[in-house]
Amino acid sequence: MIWPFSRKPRIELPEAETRRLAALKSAPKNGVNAALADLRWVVVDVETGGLDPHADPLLSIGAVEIRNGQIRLNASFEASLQQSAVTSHENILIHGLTHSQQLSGMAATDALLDFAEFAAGGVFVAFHAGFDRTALEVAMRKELGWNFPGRWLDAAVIAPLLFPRLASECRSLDDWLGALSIENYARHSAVADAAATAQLWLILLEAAARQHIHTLKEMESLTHARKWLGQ
Amino acid sequence: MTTTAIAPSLLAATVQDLRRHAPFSAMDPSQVEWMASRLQLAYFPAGATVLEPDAGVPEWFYVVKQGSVEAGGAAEDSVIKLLAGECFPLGALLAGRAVANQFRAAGDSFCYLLAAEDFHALLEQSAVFRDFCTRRIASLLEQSQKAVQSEYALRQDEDTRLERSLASVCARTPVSVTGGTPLSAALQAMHDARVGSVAVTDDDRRPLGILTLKDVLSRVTLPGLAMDTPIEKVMTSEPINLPAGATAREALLTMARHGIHHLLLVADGKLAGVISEKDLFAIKRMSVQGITNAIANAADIDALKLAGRDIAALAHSLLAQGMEAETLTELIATLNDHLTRRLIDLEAAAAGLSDTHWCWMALGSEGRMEQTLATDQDNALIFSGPPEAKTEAARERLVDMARRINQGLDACGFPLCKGLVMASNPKWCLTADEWRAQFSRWIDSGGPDELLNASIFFDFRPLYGEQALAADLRSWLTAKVQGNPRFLKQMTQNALRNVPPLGLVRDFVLSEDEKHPHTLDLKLNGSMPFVDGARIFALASGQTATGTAQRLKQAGQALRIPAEEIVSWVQAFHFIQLLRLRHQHEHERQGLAPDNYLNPDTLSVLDRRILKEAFRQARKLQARLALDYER
Repeated sequence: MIWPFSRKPRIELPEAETRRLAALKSAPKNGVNAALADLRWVVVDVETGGLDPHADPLLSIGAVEIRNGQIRLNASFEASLQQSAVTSHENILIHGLTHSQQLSGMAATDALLDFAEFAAGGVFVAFHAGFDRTALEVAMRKELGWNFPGRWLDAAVIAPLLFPRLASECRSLDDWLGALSIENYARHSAVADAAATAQLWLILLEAAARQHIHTLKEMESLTHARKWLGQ
Repeated sequence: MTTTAIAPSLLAATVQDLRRHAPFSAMDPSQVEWMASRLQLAYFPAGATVLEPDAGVPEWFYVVKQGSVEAGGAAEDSVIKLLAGECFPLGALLAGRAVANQFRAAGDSFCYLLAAEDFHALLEQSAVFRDFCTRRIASLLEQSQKAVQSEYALRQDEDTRLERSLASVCARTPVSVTGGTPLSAALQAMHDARVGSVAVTDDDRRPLGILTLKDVLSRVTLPGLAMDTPIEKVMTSEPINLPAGATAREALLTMARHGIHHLLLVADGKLAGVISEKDLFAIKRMSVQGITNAIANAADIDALKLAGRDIAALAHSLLAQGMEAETLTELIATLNDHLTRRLIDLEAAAAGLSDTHWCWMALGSEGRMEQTLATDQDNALIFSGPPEAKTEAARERLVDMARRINQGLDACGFPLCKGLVMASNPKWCLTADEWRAQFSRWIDSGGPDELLNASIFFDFRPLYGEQALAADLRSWLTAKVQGNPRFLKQMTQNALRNVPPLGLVRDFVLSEDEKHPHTLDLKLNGSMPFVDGARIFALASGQTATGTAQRLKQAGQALRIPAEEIVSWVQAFHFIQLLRLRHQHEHERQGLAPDNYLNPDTLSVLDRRILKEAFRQARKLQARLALDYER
């Protein structure tokens, strides 16, 4: 019989990938009392084939690491995922990923495992993190059969809490970069967006320290508090 | 993809960003890529400290990505502003020392960081980058020199001249304008009065600000400001000021603390004067005159002892102010001459030697006017006059007087000579005939002791008494040596035995001497090759000068040695002399006896390089000697 609450469909991975996944699953996690200054942050941006992270395919992943309050450009990650079907024309205009690039990327399982290994032990940060998180989780589940774990903080939520004066005029990442006068490279590669978000995050971390927010727990409760306030 | 790589599109973007600025724009793209792939990015909110002197040798090389970083003291007067694309701290990284100034973010700023070891690797790899960094050394050196100066200025606590009130120092009426004055008029006023700053006041002469010539470059010329801009737009507002009754010391301290060079003086809330660092240094210059006067008026040994102490203090202070070795040693020698002459004056009057013609001669480094801060006495007497029968009696009286003079000099801070090369030694209190016989023996024999004596005595210089006695001896000696190629050859061979301590593997060959392990003897291995070489050149070409630099310059012409070669030798010699003075100064400050043993590890990378080059010049000079006189 078919059990109605069936587990996700089993995915058969080659042996090497299975071993990599097992190692990732046993990696230690960050505690909530960790000091923000000591954390390894993995600032992520993903590009998808549309605006629905549940349905549209994951095209590319970009990430940079922040450690000791510095963005480590020399520890950054970028991968585009091989696509079976090429995505719609408009989206290419936004992301600049051409058809051939989309077809030429890495095998999805490799790209996802590489990324998970790059990110291991870090806390994720993204702008509108819900989108990036969902896209990654969906892809991880689909390609690896893995419920991708990890703590996520959303720069789009935290920025207005730490800079309330700018909150009304800033919505997009570009708004925030402009308001805090962060100059950035040519954007719309996933890793360039991640680097831009990382610069914003350095400013947010500095602002948090000034407002006596020192641990991951305190940062998380800041975002929860906002939910209670119904903002 | 591993955790130690940079994402390709991020690399491309970073390279592109860097290449908008010098020196990266001119560097080989692969080297910029190499650098970009090793960068980190850090954020500094406005006012945050990026680097400070207490933090030790910097771990990172910084390139401003956006925003601006300021280097310098607390006051705006001396601040350098670094904008996007500019690099720091070049000097500290090159010299391997802590930064001299504080670096602060002037606005919210992002900086690229390259690990210090990668910075040094890049220096090795890229000639363009290396050139860019070294071309700025000169200006950086100047900056570090300035930092050292203000540090020493703070230690000048025994300098009573600094207790003078500022009102007595600045006699000029200050140059001032009101806030609305256009820049053109303000700058003209500065130019006309030949001053480096202009004070800005309101209509009631209450000070509002100051603008210095240095500010003009960064705030007016470079931004291309119109000359009709009112001065209040660019002046430093809330200028640092002192009451007119404050002392020169307070002014020096305030300037050092804020890193500025101009101060406003205020009385009853109104502008009373402007004082510059130059004015303050002028007080110190006048003190040379002060010491000279004190010596001339000294009535006894006690007064001279005080003057001796003043000379030493002045030497330290001038050294700290960055005076170069040539002027400084000459100044020390001149003051020492004054003191010695006054001392002989006092003793000679008591000795009553009117029937004898005699002359006091300075020998060795004193004869060459190259005393350092650790020089003992070397002197001798030449006399003539009494009939032969009375020669011994005259010598006895002269030796008697010389003993008191030698002891007096000892009391004034010139220690007795351990080798007894002093006028009070009857061996060195000789008649003109005896000196000629003595010199002849040395020249004809040429043994090691004789050559050593020749090197000390042949630098004789008349200091007091019948100068003609010494002058005659000099012309006789010059003629005598020129007819003796064998003696020149022996002196040359002797001089060449002293090989400059350049190593094949490491920069320097260091002493294995137990008393002074791991050191260079800056006197024996440093100055001596130049001093010995210059003496031989001078004797060979019949020049009568006794100073090393002067000898090289005179003999160079006579011997047709290329002028630029002579200049390099003289510079190298003075650099080594300066190192000796600095080393001795530092020792005295720490309460140690001054010596010439320098541990080269205590030198900055830059000074090491220059010292190495100075030794190379010594080797060149020796090569020339060998060529001309060894066979």
